[in-house]
Amino acid sequence: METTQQVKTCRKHITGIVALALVLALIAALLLVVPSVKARKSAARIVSQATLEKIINVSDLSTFQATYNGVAAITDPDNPQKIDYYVSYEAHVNVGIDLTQVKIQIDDEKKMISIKLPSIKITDVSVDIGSLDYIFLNNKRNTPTVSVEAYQYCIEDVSMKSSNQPEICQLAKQNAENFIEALIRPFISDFGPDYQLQID
Amino acid sequence: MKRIIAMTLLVGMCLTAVACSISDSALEQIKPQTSQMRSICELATMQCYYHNVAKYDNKDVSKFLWWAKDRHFWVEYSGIVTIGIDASLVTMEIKDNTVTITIPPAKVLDCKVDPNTLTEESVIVAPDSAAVKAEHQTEAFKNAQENMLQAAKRDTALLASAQQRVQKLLEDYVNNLGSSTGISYQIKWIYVDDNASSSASISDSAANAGS
Repeated sequence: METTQQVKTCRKHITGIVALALVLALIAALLLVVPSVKARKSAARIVSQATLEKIINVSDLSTFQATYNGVAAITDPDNPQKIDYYVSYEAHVNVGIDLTQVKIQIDDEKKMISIKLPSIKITDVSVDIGSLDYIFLNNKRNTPTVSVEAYQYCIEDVSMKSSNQPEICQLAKQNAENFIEALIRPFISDFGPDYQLQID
Repeated sequence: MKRIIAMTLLVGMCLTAVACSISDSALEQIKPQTSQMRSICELATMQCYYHNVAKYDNKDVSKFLWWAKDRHFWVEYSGIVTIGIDASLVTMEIKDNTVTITIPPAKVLDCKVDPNTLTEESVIVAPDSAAVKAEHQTEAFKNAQENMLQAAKRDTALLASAQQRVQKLLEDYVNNLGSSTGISYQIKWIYVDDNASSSASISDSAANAGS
């Protein structure tokens, strides 16, 4: 009778030990899961509005280039209606965007990341002096110094014509939007699968 | 009792498995990926405004006795040139902290002349030229597309700028991922030609992640 009682007590002890071991194992498993979940969440938190701003600001992608190979008509200084010669030139027009002025807004309710770009402006033009070619209507203007004079006219011509060409800035803006998307798109998924990106 | 033990063990095993999978997928997600790089390359395609002058100088087109005349005229027009790289040829390999990116050269992907810019006013005829008639203008307008394509292909400054831009975007992508995870990646570039059959050159650039 006593032996049976002892066996029962022993079983209870073993059960208790096993239960305790299992509880400890469960706690250990939870300890393993919680940091992993936290790590996952912190991976999402790696990217914040400040991070996106930094990604855009440090990128050296603030200038775009258009090619403007044009023709300038040079008139008679005494008679602006009379064309003395035409000069063709090869030029590049640089268009700039101030990336520090890019505004980012994150709306967690609408799950929308909105990026507002500043206006794009022509910052610089460069004419290749070696590319100048002429058609003279007044041969008296064909002097040894004509290229020096013509070069200045070409710079004026490309500056004036390119600023009257809205397509140059429109295309540069489109490129800037694509590049900013390329810069930050890989990090958008960290906000969540439903987040949308809007750039304008 | 046995049921309780079995259930507890099952729950423990599930939790451990979940923990491992979560940490693995989180790590995978913050490493540079080829698919992301290809998307970047596609977005890096540049559309450029292109204004061009096509020059025609046909020798001795009209003769009268010993007097020959050339036909000499210029045509000014505009269009859009699309420049980029073939994203399908971009590959990436990570070994330790070295990211090796294989990249083809930038090329002209598309070229479109704006027909509205081809007008009579865009034709400039030299004073001593043989007559430039409608058929010569039509021929010049017909060749404008090919002319602009050739001019864009010769525009090494524009092509180099497009190439540098793609590389800078990819470099920024690797750098930014490195900064997020505290890994300092070294980038190795392998330049291939268009058919991806041969390696042209290799260069290194250090990514200062985490700084």
